[in-house]
Amino acid sequence: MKIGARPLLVLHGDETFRERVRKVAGREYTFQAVPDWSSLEEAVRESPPSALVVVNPYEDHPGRGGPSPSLRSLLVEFPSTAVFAAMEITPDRTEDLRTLGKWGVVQVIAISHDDTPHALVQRFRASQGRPLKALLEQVLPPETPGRARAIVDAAAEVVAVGGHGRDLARSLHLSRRTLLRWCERAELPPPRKLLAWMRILLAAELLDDPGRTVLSVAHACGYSSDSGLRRVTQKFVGSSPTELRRRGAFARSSKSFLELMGKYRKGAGAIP
Amino acid sequence: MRAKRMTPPVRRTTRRWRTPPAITHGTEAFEGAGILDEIRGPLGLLLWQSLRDVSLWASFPPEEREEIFVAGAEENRLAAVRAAEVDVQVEPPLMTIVRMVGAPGSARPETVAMACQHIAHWADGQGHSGTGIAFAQAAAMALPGDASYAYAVGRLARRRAEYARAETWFRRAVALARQTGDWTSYALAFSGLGNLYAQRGNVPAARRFHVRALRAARRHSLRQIQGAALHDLFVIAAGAAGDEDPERYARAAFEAYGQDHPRLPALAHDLAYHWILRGHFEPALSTFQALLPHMTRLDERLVVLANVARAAAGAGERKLFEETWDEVWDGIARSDSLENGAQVLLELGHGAATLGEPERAERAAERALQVATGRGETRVQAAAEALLESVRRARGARTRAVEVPHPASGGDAEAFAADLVRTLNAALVSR
Repeated sequence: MKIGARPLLVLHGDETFRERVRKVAGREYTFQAVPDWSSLEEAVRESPPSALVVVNPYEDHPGRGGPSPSLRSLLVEFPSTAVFAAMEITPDRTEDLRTLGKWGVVQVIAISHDDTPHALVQRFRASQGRPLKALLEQVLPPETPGRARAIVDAAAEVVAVGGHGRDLARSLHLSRRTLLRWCERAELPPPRKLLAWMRILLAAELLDDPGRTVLSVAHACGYSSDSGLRRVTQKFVGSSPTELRRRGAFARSSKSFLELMGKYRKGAGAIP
Repeated sequence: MRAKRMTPPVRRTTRRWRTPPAITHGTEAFEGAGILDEIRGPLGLLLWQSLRDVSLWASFPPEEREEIFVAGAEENRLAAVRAAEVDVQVEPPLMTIVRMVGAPGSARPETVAMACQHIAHWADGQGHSGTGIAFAQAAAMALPGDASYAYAVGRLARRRAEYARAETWFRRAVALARQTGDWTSYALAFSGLGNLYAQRGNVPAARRFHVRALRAARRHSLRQIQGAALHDLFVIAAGAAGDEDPERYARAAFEAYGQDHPRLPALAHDLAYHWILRGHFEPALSTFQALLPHMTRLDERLVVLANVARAAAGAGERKLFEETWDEVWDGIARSDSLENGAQVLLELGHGAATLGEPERAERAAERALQVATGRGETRVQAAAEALLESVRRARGARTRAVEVPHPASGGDAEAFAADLVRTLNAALVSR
């Protein structure tokens, strides 16, 4: 599975801020300014899962009782997308912030406070793979050891940007051999297998987005056609993407993943 | 315990050692969103902004911190602090963070970490545990090499029943403490892991960690932690059906603690509870009653009261049982997120069953089961299910659901209880 450069889609009326984001994008991201909410929706539909979206939540909706409903529609249609709200934080916007959290915004950029290039880069990096991590948190059983959670979390981050086993080891500051040992001790599959599963879960997360077609999910995950994605989902979950989508792709795939984790736990059977 | 140092911990080993990463977020939507839910209004917003500032600042290496915030950010934040009419206890640490925003390059990590820890304590004391854990974590991120801050996050996370998060922070504390030679945090983190596993019902793992805490405490002459580890081992031995004599650990812990140790009431409580289980209701009741004046926090008081009710039921003191039953239910109705809420309800259920009141027993056990399931406390959950089953079976057979254990010889227990009551009363007077 290959994932290209990470798109950074920006919908924000403040030209100075847009320019700052463009500079920050550098080589790591492909900057793309969009003029309105509908164009943003189109751009998100065609984007890989690693895409970041920066919006002004009040764009085209200034001061009319909270953030724009178009942002809500975007997050309903594409809940897997990492959306940043770039706004001025004032005391009268406390409720709006809570609303943005409920809608699924992954991070807030405080205009005129921490919207420096340094801070922006850091915030973008920190939100890598956040939607998938949030979904995994909900499905991992409470008895999952902390070490296992930390590795799964890191794997979700790595997969969201198209990384591989060596990137996972690097993100945990470990050698590949140590990572393998840690996976064994945490009763997890080996790193390669774990990452393969994370990719399946990522594809499943995208399949659950109502705004995406199976073909666009395949493209977003780096396959040239939907047959590649079908082959992989058949192998791991035993269903085609269309079937998965009908039965709740993430719920079904995560169930298979947890069954696999259960097998590893039984195999290890040791006291932590 | 040693005083908190003002210099960063020095790594004492040159060996390559990987510190396990910790889980840094719970179920909140974005960083610190839980603060906005817990504390409404300008103060909540200010705390949320301050948390974000510290996290952002701490995520950079010291040499790259100069250009994180825009020029003038300090003045704006200062105005916000003044406008928010902040609690006097929180204002100084918030001002420290404001100064950090103004001069991020020269702010000292130790000062920022202490400010965050201060806010965490304040928030926790106010019942805002989400805010507390967020700031405790910010402190641990500001001083990433300090095991004591990592341990503090683990403790708070465990109390919030965020077990996975707690485990990662305790394990991180163990690794950091070993690297820096902070043996207090080292032993405490093992103890924390032991309590975590005990809370989740994994007794063998809990015992193993408590033994490691005890060994570390002995090796480094940490007498108070040694007492605490013995105390925890007593609790585990009392709960297990092995050949070990639990009271041996209790006596050793009693001696290690001494008269004025703050954990002595907790030891007395656990021992009295053990006596209830063995059918020694009179020494248990006298110990619990001596404990009540020591309990100032509502959650602790409710636990003791529930046990007074159970011991009173066992000793046949119906009137005392009735009084404490009402008091405990009133207390539970006033606080919806008690750490030991399920256990409190379970004790009431046992007391009611002992007195032959199946309706009351069933009501308490059902509620205990509900709370324990919500918090993932498997041991209490199983106990509540067992009580429910026995009460329902007894009702079906129209017999009294009394399962009072037959007391073994209570001579030792009574003597030990008299010692404990005397020591507890003396501690109260000396305070």
